[in-house]
Amino acid sequence: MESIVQSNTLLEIEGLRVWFPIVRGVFSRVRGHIKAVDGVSLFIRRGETVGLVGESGCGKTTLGRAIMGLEQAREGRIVFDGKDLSHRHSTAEARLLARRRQMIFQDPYSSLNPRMTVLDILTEGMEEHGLMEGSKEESALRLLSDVGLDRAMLHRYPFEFSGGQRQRISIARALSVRPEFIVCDEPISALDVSIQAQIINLMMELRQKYSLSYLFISHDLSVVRHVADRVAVMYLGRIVEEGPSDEVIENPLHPYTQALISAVPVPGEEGRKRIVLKGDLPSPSNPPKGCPFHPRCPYAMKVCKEVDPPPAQRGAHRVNCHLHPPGPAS
Amino acid sequence: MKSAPLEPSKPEPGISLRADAWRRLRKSRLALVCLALVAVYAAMALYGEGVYYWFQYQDRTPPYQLQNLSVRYQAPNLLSAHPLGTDGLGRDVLQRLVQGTRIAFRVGLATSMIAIPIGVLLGCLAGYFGGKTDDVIVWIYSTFASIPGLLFILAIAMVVGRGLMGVYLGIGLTTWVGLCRLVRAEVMKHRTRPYVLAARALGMGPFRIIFNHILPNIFHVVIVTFTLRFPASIGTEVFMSFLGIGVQGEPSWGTMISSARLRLWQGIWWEMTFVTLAIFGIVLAFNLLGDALRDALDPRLRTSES
Amino acid sequence: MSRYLWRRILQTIPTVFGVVLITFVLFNIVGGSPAGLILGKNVTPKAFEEFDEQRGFNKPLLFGSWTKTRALEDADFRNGPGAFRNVRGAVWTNGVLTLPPGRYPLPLAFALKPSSDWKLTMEGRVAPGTSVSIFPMIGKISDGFSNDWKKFELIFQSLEKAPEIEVAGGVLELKGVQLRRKTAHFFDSQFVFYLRQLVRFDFGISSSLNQPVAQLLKAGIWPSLALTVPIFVIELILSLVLSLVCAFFRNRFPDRLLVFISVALMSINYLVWIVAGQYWLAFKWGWFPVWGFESWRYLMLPVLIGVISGLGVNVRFYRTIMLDEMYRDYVRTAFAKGVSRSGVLFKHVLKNAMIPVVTNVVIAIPFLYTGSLLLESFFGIPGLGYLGVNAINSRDVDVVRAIVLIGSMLFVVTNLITDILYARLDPRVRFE
Repeated sequence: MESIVQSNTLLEIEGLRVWFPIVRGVFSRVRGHIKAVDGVSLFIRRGETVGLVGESGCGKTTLGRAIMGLEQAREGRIVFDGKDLSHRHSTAEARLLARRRQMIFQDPYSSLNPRMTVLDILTEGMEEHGLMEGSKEESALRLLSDVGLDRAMLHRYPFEFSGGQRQRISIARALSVRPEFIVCDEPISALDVSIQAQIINLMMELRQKYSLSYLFISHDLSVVRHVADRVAVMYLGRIVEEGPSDEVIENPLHPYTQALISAVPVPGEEGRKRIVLKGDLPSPSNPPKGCPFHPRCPYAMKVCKEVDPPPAQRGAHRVNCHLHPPGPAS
Repeated sequence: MKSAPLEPSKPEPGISLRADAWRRLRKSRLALVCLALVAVYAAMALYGEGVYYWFQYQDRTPPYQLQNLSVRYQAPNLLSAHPLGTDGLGRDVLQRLVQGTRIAFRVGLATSMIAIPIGVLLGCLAGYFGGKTDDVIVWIYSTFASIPGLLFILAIAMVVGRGLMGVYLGIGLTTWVGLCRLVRAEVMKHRTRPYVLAARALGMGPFRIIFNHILPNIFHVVIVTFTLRFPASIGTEVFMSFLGIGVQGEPSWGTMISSARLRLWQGIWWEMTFVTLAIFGIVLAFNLLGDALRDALDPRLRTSES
Repeated sequence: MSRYLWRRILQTIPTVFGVVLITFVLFNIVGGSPAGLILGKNVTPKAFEEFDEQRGFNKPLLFGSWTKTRALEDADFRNGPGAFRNVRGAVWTNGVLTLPPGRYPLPLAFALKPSSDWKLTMEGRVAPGTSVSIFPMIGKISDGFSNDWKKFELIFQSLEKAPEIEVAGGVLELKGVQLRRKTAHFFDSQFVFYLRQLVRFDFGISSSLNQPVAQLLKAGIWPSLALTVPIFVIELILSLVLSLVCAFFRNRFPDRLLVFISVALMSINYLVWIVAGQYWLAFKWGWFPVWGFESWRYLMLPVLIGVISGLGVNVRFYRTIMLDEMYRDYVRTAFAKGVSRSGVLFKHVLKNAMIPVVTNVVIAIPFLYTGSLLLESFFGIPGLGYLGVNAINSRDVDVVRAIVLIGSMLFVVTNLITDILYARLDPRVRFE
C-alpha cells in the first residue's frame, strides 16, 4: 500500500484484524473465528468526518470499538496522532490517549447509566482526568448548554428524558473530556426521524466549534453524504471502496456500493432501476474465498472466486474489485 | 441491532426506579403488613440487645436468666408478671423470647455480612473479567455447591467450635454461592452494555466501573437475596442451637425449643407454642416481603407478568 | 458423543479435587487434631500421639522434613521451666534454664519411637570452653556454641535408651528447647496421607464408635434411603399435582389459596413439624410409633412430616415452571385454536415443563443419601443423618468428613449423568 501518512493525519489504521474466537467446550478450544474486521486500512485527517457504511453485521461497530480500544486487535496497527495504540504506553500516556478519543453509541437508552444523574454522568470523566474548571455544576452546565439542554436537567436521571435528549447527554458526556476524535456509532438510527436532523446539525456545529474529527458509522448513505467528507464502504469485515463522499456516491465503482446507492430512494426518481442483491450476507466466520462479495455480485467473474482483489486507485477513489484492476485506469 | 425499537421494559418516565419500586411495593397491602411485622421484630431485637448490654454492664443476672423455682411452670396470664408464663426453672418466657429475637437478628445480619460481600465480590470479578478469573471463581463455587449444605454448615461450626461464631461462619461461608451465581450472570449481561463501554472509553478503571456503574444497577438482586436468606439463616440457627452446636448458655429460639420439647410431654404447652409462633411470624414476614420485593424490583418479572 | 462424554467426565476432576481440598482445609488446617477434645484431659501424651499417628495428624500439613512430637512439648523458658522442672540438677531462674556440667535425660513424656531421626533445637549460650553433646549420639557435637544467645541444633537417632544431654567444661544456659522428628520423606504430610487414604477408599476410623467409617456408612445408607425415597416420591407426585391445580386456576381462588398455604408451610420451622407431630400424632393420639426403626410402621410418621415440610417450597417452584410454560407462544396458539384449558395443560404444558422438573428432581437425588439429619435423629432411625449429627456432637472428624465427601461425590456424579443424558436427548447441549 502506498504511503498515505501525512502530517495532518489524526488516525491511521493499517491492516487491522479483529477476530472473535468461537470457543467451545470445557477446555476453551477455539473452533474458528468470527472475522468481524478482516484487514482494514483507513485514515482520518484532523477535522475530517469519515463516513463508514455497510450492512448490519459487516463489522462497522467492531471497527469503531477497536479504535476506542474496547476490542482487542488481532493484527494490524492503529496509530493515533503518531502513537501506535498497540504498544504499551505508560499509564499516564495511555490515559491521555484514551481521553482524546471518545464514542457515541447507537442506543440512547442503554448507553447512559440509569442510576446516575446527568450531573454525575457529565462530570465523572472530567474528575477522572482532572479537567474540571470551576465547580461540578458549572462544568456540567457548560456542557449542557453546548448540546442545547437546559439547567433544569442537571439533577435528573436518564430515564426522564426522550431519546433525542439522551443522545444529547451522550454527546455531552463524550465532549466532557475534550476529545479530538469521536466515533459515532449510528448515533441517530434509533431516533425518531424528526429528531435525527437536529442531532446531526448539533454534531456538525460541535465539530466546527471544537475542531473535532468524526468516524461516522451508519447504514444510511444519504445521512453519510450529508455529514461526511469521505466515505468508506465496508463489506464482510473489509473496506471495499473508499473516497470523497460526493465522488463515491455520484460515481460508485464497486458493485456493492452501486447496489447500496441504488437502494436509497431519491425523490422524483421513483422509477429508477434498483440493483437487488441476491442472497444474504455470508457468515463472517467463514467468508467466501476470493472476493468476499462474489456470491452476491451481479458481475462475478471466474477470477473473483479465486483471488482476493487488490486495491486500485482511481483518482481519489480506492476500490477493491476485479472490474478495476490496479494500474492506470483504462 | 439496527434501529432497535425503544425497549419496552422501561418504567414509565417521570418516576425514578427506586420510587417506582417503592410505589409497587406500597400497592401490595400484604407487603406493607410484612414490613411492619419485620419492624416490630427488629424493635424487639434492639430492645433485647439493650437489656443484654445493660445487665452485662451492671454485672447482674438478667431477668431472662433469673431462676426462681417457686414460680416455675406458670401458665400464661396476660395480667401477671409473666404474661407468657414461665419455664421449668421459673424464667420468664416473654423475656427469653425477646432474647431469642435478638439472637435471630444477629444471626440473620452477621451471616449476610459474611455471605453478601463474598458473593458480590466474587460474582462481580468473575462476571466482569471473565477468562481465567471466571474459571477459578466458577470452580470455587461449583465446589462449594456440591457439598451437602446443612452438613457443611454443621461441619464448619464443629471445627470453629460451639457458640454464635460457629453459627455465623457456618452459615455465612456456605450461602454465598447462590448470590455469586446470580451476580456473575447479571454482571456478564451488563459488561457489554453501552453505558459500561462509555465508562471504559472515558478512562474509568475496572473496579470503578464494577462498583460505581454496574453494581448499583444489579443491586436489586442483592436486596432480594438478602430478604430471602435472612429467614433461612434464622431457621438454620434454630436447628443448630437445637442440636447443641449453636448458641450456648443464652436463650435462643433453638435452645428454647430444645428444652420446651421435653416439657411438652408433661403438658407445658406455652413455651413451645410461643416460640413456634415467633419463628413462624418472622419467617413468613420475610418470605412474603422477599416475594413482593422481587416482583417490585426485578425487571424481568415486570415484563412477563403484565 | 464420546468426545463430549470424555470432556464432561474430565470436567468433574477439578470439582472433586476442590471438595478434597475444602475438607482438608476445614478439618486439618483450620480444625487440627481433635485428640484433646475426644480423648479428654486424663490421657497420657502417648495416647494422644497414637491417636494422631492413626489419623496422620502427627505429620506436617503439606510438606516438610521435620514435625512436632507430643513426647516433648516446645519449651520456652521465658515462661517457666516446663517439662524441665523435673530434670535433676537443672536450675530455672528468671526465664533461663541453667545446666551445670553433667548428664541430663530429656524429660520425655514417653519413649521415642526407636531408630528414627530427631532434631533438638536449643536457644542458648555457653561459657567458653564448654562442650555440649547428646547421647545416644549419632549427630555430631554441634559446633557454633558461643557465649552469645544463639539457636543451635543437635541431630540424633533414637535408640532403646532415652536420650541425654551432656554438658562438660562449663555451664549451659537455655532459653528454649524444641524437639522435632524427621519425616519419612519431604512429602510425608497430612495432605498426602489423606490423599492416600482416599485412593484406597479408606475413610478412617470413627473416634466415638471405634469402628471403621466405611462400615458405619454401609450400615447407615439403607435406613436413610428407606426414609428419604418415599418422601421424595410422594412429595414429587403431590407437588406436581398441586402445581397443576395452581396453573389451571391461575390467579383465581384455588391458586391463591394454595400459594398462601405453600408460603405458610415454608415458614413453619422443620423442628416444629417434628416436635408437634411426634407429640400429638404419636404420643398423644397413638397413631404411630414414637421412636425406633423396627418395621415400616415406624417410617410412616417421619415420611409424613418430611412430605409436609417440603411441600410448600416444591409447589411454589413447580407452579412457577408451569406458569412460565403457559406464557409460551405455542400455548397461546393452542388456546387460540380452541383447545380446552385442561387439554392444553396436560398435552402441552406438562410435557414441556418436564425438562425443568426433571432437572430439579435429579439435582435432589444426591441429597437423598444423607437422609434427613433431623428426622433421623428424632425418630431414632439409624441412618446417615443420625450418624452425622452424633458425629458432629462428638467431634468425630473422620465420620463427618466421610459423609461430606461421599455426599459431594454423589452430587458430582449425578450431575454428570444428568448432563450426559441431556446430551443424548438434545444434541444442542453438546455444543454449549
